[in-house]
Amino acid sequence: MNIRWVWLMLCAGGLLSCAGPAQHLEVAPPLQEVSIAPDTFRIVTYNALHGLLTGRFGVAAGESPEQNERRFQLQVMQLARVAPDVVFLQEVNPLPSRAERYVQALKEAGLVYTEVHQVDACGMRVSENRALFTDLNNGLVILAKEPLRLQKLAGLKLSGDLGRCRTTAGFQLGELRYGLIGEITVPGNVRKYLVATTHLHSGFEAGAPFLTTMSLLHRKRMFNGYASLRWEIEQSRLRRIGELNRLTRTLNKLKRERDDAGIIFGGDLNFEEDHPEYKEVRLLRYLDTSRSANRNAKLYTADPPRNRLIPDAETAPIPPLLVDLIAGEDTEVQAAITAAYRVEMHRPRQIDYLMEDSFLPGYCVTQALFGQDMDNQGLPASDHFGLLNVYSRAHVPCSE
Amino acid sequence: MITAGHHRAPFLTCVLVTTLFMAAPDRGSALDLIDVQELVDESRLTFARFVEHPDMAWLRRHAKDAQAIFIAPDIVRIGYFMGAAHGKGILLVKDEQTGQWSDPAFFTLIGAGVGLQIGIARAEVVALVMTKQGIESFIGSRLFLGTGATLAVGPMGRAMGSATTPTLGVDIISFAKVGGGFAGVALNGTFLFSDDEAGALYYGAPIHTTDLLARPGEVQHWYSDRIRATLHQLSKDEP
Repeated sequence: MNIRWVWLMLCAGGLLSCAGPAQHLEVAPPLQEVSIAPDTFRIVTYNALHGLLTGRFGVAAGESPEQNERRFQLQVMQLARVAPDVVFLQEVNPLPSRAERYVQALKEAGLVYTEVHQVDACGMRVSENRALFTDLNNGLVILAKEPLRLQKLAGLKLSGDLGRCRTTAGFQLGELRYGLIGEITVPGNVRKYLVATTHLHSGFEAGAPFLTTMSLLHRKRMFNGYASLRWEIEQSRLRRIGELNRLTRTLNKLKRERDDAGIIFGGDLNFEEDHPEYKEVRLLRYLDTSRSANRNAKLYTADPPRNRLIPDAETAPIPPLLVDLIAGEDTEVQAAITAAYRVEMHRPRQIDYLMEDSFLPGYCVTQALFGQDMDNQGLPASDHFGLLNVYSRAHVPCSE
Repeated sequence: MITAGHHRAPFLTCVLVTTLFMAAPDRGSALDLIDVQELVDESRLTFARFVEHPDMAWLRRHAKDAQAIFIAPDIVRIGYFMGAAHGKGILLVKDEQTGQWSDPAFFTLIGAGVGLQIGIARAEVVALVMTKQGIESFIGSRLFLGTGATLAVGPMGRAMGSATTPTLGVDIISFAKVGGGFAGVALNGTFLFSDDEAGALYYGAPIHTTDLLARPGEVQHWYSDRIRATLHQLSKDEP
């Protein structure tokens, strides 16, 4: 056989293996069977902050090892205090060691957890210690507290072109987004529940106030780049919608095939309540637990005035895209757009959610922010606050 | 003299023949509901990406004049002067009385022709069906151009929004995105097969394409709400 044919077949084989769905089954060790339904059930979603500075051509540490360790210890302390039954974590860095450290540290606090994980940012990695960007191997983690049994069903690639990330190897040529899907037993429930976490595409983030200002400038014929800006924002939104579509299609299929009782997914979804992505979730027949939860006020998970890890308005970096789009405008218009963007970046927002489909019916749910403690330097454990859902078996109407 | 082209000939012939076999409708394939839902979701995203693009001013302005819209979100095209194409698509029809859009009818698309391209590429296609004759060409298996419906490539560019003659005098106006950029690709030489298996999976019961197209408002599946809403947005004014 001609050497070119051999090479061609090898290439084809390699491409096929890369193009296949990034799914594999990992089973956590079985835990003790308990058959009494719990009176309360707690779920946390929390972006743990990877602590990296990521650029187009490289990755570097964005904080000192001491600060990283302080944040980790603060996170563990907050988790141990709440003792959630299930925890959804994003930006856990590095994997798998940081996930194992959460389990170990919580065990030292008297709480036994199992974990499953999925790397969603790996760069070029051939083994645990050999990689183009050695610091880059972070992603999604689900923790489940004993006596729950947790099983990983899929590390589902939601978007991104060529590439895939596994625990200790992988390659990516651009941004990849994943969903981590697991299945848990809940004591007292014969049927299991699907649990999933994800960190959706970020892109160019802008909400209604900023877009209104841009639209006004456009109507006054002062901002020629408006159409391009809208297109960039729309592309980011459509990408997130595509990711939500893929995640929920797969969750629905798994629920059908495995006869699961319900679904809850959560994470850093990078959209707000008035964005099309939020409406998408509702049209996909999932319920934002914020709506069913008994809570008195808006819960802002990205809250620059209260979170010192988020750059303040004056120093917030202007994205290169916006710099390019306004380059040809008058100086006054440039200043107005820059100022509007900085105000936008300083606006408190909720971008983390817990969404459900028939999750623990018969329980009342309350929702609160998670992770608001500060360390001895007045810094929180992440640039996000998380969400804590507490489900209680209702003997009275949920509103009381 | 033996040229490089002679070396490639067996390989390319093999690839083309294999592609044509793969492209034929496979009644034994294990199509799943999730695949059909993905087709509907991806079609909607393709359409949204097309109409939102700054260079698609004409499409944005005139899509509301269409009587039906065909969307194929992933057509694989392969060729070496002679070429083949394969993909799946959906067609939604607008109710003349209410202006509401129908649920999707499912199609498999197979194309063959000369001069399609060299190499392999993936394409997304959006086609506006401007006339009744255009809709009728989707019923049954037809070779498009020259057997009834007339086709044209749609105008592109930021200054095309005010172009006159909405229908351009043809039955079907197509827009395509090949790789990263929009391109003038017509549906010439394209066969469409009604995909009844996909329809039955999606609706949970056998539904004939003819019925869907003839009575647009009769079937309303919740999963189609989002694509219908996206098409409905067309009736709103451009910001």
